[in-house]
Amino acid sequence: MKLGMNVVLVLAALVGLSLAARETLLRKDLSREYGILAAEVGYLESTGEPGVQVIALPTKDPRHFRWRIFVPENETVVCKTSVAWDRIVPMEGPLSFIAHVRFRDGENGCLKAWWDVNRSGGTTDMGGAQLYEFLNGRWDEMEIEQLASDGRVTVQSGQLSSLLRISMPDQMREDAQESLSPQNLKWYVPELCHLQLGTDAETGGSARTDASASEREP
Amino acid sequence: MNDSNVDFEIDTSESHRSDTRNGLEARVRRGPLQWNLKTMILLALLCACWFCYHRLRDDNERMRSAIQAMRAESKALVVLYNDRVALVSAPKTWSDEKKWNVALPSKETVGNGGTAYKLCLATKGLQLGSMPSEVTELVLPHGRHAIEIKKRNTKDGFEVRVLLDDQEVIKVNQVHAWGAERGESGSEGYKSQSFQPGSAVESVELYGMYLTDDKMPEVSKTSQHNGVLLWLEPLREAGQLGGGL
Repeated sequence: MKLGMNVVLVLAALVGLSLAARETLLRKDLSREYGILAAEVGYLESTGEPGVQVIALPTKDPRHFRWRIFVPENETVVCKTSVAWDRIVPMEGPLSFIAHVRFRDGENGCLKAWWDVNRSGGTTDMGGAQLYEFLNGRWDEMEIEQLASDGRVTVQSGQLSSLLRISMPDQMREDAQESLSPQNLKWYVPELCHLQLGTDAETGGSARTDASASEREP
Repeated sequence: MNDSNVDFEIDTSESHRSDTRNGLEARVRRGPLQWNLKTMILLALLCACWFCYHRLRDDNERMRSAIQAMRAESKALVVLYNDRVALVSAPKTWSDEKKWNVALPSKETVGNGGTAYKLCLATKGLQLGSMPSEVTELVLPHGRHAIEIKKRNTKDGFEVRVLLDDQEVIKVNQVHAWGAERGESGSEGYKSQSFQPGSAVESVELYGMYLTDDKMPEVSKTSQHNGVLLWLEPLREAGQLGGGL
């Protein structure tokens, strides 16, 4: 009886072990596909917590920035920026989309910016030929802060977080004072671009803007 | 009395009976399950194995549903029939980008009856339902490629460039036939999902844009327009393919 029961236990354990092994092998394949797809389109799902989830996605171009943004139900997200384009229409959750900001050399000899936030966006010429010439070959010197570049971030309700901040280092600012027009200095120095994301649909720009507005998650 | 003749007989029956009784009692007390150390270890092993299995299965299920959701957005190129082209609009990386990822039948497949394709571009004499008279063509190499079209307005018309794997392969300058007032109407297919034509002899329109003005405000089957028409045309049986667009 005892021996029989032990044999049954061993057999049942072996069946469980083989099934677990099969799932482990399957997991390898799934992980590979998950990794490829997550790099391409990203994946965020509702965690039941309030706030907007953001994760940066990789790109081939160092001047191209992408994020997967998940807005849960009962949240309204807005994007605002200090330059080039004004507040984007508030977007009500639930929704999940990929946001883009990209800069590239325009065919008309100026820096062009393109943004696309939930199918709302456009292109703009930044600063004309003067700014283009000033930045030509100096993009690597810019200080770039991209939200969620190290992993998923939750932007808490009622707060604004910097989605993208591209600013000039001290030396470049000094050079800009000599090279750029007052208008270009006003619009693009020291921050060439500062795009913010938040959930303050009603309060507009009065929402608190600080580094603690977002909580970095492991 | 000889001591050596004395038989000692020890009656152990009582004791044996007693042991037997104790054993039976113990068995009755312990029930049919024998919970010794070995059994307990095996039981723990069993639980661990099945716990791991369920945990992995649940994780995989979650990953599968995430993959399912991402696949819907990924614009993956799906080749169901390898005798014909498969294409999907490439993920957007600029506002007015018109780019497609295409998978063309391999050389072996073409040798076995599959279809090779040429890339065709027309910029004038565009008419719905019929082939333009002036077409710039390029025979496409086998395998997977990216095709992109770039349009730029010039002083007296527009310039169209077609790139194959980021290399310019076709460039056409087109002068406007009419006045400066012009609008656009057009189509850009296969935006969200991978597409394959119904048969290996069908042409596939990649991009169509018809310029209109106050003289030709509507695009119809009888009106001819300047614009951009880019399509893939099978190299075999090209004569039958005109009506496909």
